[in-house]
Amino acid sequence: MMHELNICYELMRLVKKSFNTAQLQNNNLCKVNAVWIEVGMLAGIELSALQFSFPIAAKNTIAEHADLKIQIIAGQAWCKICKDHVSMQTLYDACANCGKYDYQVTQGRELRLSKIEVN
Amino acid sequence: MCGYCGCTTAPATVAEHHHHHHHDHEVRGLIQIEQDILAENQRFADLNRAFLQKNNIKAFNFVSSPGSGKTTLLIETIKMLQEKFCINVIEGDQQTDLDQKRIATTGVKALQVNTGKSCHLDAHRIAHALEELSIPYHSLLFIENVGNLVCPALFDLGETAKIVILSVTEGDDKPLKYPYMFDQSQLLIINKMDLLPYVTFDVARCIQYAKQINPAIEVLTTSATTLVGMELWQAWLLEHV
Repeated sequence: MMHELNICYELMRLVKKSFNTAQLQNNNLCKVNAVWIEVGMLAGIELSALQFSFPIAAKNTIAEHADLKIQIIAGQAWCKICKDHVSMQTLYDACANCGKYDYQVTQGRELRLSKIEVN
Repeated sequence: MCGYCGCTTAPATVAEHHHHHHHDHEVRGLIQIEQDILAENQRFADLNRAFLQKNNIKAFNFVSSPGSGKTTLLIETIKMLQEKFCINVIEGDQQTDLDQKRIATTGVKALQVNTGKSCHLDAHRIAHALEELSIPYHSLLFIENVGNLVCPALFDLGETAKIVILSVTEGDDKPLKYPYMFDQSQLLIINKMDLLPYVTFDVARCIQYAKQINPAIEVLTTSATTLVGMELWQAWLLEHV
């Protein structure tokens, strides 16, 4: 839980910086209504802990009461044996086709701030 | 902006999208950012890595649960190598300078970083520690991270390699339970091998689990108290400096 709270503090730091930059161009902006993030299934992030932590990190900021919108990115790896992309649910899955562990993760480790909705 | 070094993140671009309602002319903006949440840490990590590489400093980030024997292992490692290499140490703990004092008994320079509420060292703190230490060209830097098998995995410090230490008292299934840490580590040291007769720990199974998560991970077994396995550990280090 501590982990996701730390992530939310870091997220809020990015949100504040982006908001402040936008305010330089439009000084009517006064708050953030929604924060859109992308979280990969293999990123090691517990989504419910993130949802719980976000309001704590956002309290008394321009994003207080903002919605946290999470886009989940599926896990994927390149299996060196099958020579094909395979879907991965967790970092300790075997390849669903050949049952081996000789693969390179190609997608699913994302932890990105994608956009913010302001007014 | 960091008051110490003036660092800032990249500016966002604004894309405005106007909604026109018959009773509401509220202007709402959608600001595209597309930035890794941990980008700031990565920026410092990349700077640290470039600095270390330029100065031929090999930096090892030691990660583990609390109580795995990291500090004892580091002390014995320093004793083995301090005639051959200049060694500096960065000690990370939430509180106290107990570890820094223990390391300092070997005579090498050790800097304590207290992270307070934070549960991991981050690259920004390491950047400042590097400035404070003035590490010479062609030397060794040992970073002992905060005892935690979870968060340090996500925070690149700019090190040459992460080394994960797991003691035999912790259970052989930990590589599966904490896959991100084992995935990110180049070397696994199974420590406290002198206690193996007294615990239920299957070394072969632990190695199998670690290689399941990370087929390329190398494995060594040690006891920092009886010094079993320390010659092979020294050989690994000499190969990588």
